[in-house]
Amino acid sequence: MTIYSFWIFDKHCNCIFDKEWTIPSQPRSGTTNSKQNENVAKLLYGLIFSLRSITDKISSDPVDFLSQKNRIRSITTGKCRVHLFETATGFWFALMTDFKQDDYYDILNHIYKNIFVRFISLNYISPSDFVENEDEKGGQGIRKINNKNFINNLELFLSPLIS
Amino acid sequence: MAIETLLIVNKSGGLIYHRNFGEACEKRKKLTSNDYLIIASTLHSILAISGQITPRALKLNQDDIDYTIPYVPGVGMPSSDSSNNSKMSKLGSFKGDDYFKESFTSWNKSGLRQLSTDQFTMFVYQTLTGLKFIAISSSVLPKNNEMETSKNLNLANQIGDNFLRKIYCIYSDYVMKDPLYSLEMPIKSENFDKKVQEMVYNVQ
Amino acid sequence: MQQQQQPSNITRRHDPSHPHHHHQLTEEQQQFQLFQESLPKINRLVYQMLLNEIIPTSISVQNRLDESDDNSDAEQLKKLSISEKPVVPSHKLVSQMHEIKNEGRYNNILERIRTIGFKLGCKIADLLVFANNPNLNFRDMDLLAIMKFVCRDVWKLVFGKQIDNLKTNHRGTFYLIDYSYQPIKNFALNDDTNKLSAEELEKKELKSVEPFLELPVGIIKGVLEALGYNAKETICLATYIDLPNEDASHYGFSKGISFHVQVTNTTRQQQP
Repeated sequence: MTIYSFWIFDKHCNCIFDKEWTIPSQPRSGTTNSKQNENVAKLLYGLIFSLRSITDKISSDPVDFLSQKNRIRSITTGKCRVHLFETATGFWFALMTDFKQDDYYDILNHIYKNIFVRFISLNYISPSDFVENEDEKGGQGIRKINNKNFINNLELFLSPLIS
Repeated sequence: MAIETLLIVNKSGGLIYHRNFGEACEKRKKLTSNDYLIIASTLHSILAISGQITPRALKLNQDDIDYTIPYVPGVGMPSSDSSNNSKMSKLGSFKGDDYFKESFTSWNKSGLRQLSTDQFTMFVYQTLTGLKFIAISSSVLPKNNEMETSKNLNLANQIGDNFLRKIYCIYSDYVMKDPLYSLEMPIKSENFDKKVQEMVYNVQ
Repeated sequence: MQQQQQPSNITRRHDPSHPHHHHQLTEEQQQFQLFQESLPKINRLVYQMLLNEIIPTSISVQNRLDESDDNSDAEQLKKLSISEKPVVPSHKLVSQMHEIKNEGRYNNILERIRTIGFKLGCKIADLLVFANNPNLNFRDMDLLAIMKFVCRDVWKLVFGKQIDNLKTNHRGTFYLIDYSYQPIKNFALNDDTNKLSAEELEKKELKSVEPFLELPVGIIKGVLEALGYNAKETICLATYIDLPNEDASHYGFSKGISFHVQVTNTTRQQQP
């Protein structure tokens, strides 16, 4: 039942938000958008990206126009489990938990609907596309979500689930 | 749980065995053997990369994660029929009615173990010698969060691991003991094929 | 279309007004209720976005006008081109406001937004009078009753909720207090550079949101004008006030808004 970390990637291959909980029993501990996590973010992105391309190759074509493409739901490694949620606008929400945990798809859906959309997409003084020029695409971006409403609400929502 | 594809990848990432089962694979895109080679080597490297992703909480805590996988009886064994008792040596050199009967530890401490998507679930079993067994099954793990399905989920994982370990047993029996087989080369053994087919058929 | 992109709990119907459900409604009141429910409804999310988009649009319009004022005709001819102008995202426009040193330009933008609100206010007053709400009797209304009308009906119509508190000194000065002003409820500034301290960030955030408050100011003035109080004699200002509940400031916009309305001529001008 332990949640280790939460990541958001956008369509320009940048990690725009990461939050890690280091001490499982204290929801307020941990780091947000730390520099050390940049490498881990790139690793994670690469892992998800390559597994997605494999999945695309193996899966059958959708039967008709309306049925959904095959999406990755979770990736289990020897140490942890990564739950994935993709939006049509190209954002990936990844939640890293211990590997006994079930599918957290509903949790990620709720985070997207009620926290991300409310505090970032509908927020007129915050950017919705975090890339300002061509240099920041392709994984070189540096801007992160630093919005106090978003962070506080996220912590509020996830703290009963962390311990 | 219906197994659709079985892949065996050797130590250096080359594909040494690939087999599709069942009619479900007719629906899938026709992939050439080249495609499968690429998939195999990609998975091999992903396995290595995913070992580097360790959450910091685990690094700090150093708790011992429980790596034992319990034995799930009857995976891939034909339904018991008392009149068939006379056929004793069905399992090659394994005496008794199943390949192993006790729980085992997973050797795969940090690599990729399972990938679940909307349409299929992929299980990866890595042996101590660097050999990787990959099974793609068309069962989809359930989405709900109730306790029952949680047990089902873990059960599905364990069944997958048990199944692949049995394939490993068959491999050690029919392929390793074959004097004409050179290591790390593609497997071309009829007996192996037959046994694998039987086991897959029994699992369905 | 994949289904999970539709945030379905936000797209609800915007219901203009809901009179109280008394046990015995007079026939007039029942008729009014039916009329309200039969009106066409619009999507709340789209409406909110449209309302908020007024501000970046005004900024952009004013920028264009200022640009063409600055240059002579010859230079402007050089600038004509068929290729598209680059689109500046809304949040950039709003943050540019913060950096405008020229007071005149800044005030021009606020004036533009206020005028849009003013015209909206006039039309809303007409709409609500036309709706023939049996609970309201416009003929006998004095200033206090009109302010209450603004707090209840106008705010409900435009923003979906009523004003939280109304204070008055019974001599023409009113304070309308809204603790969670709808359109900016979820705004927060994204500190990209991570170098601003908490106070600087808050100051910058409050300054950036100022233009968004000109719209309701305009609406109040417009309603008052339409009901007989000349705009030249009424003053309306918006300021920030602290929220009564400390916690709430962490999970949404950190301040409440107080609209100070001062009417110097308290007799209504009846149109001849």
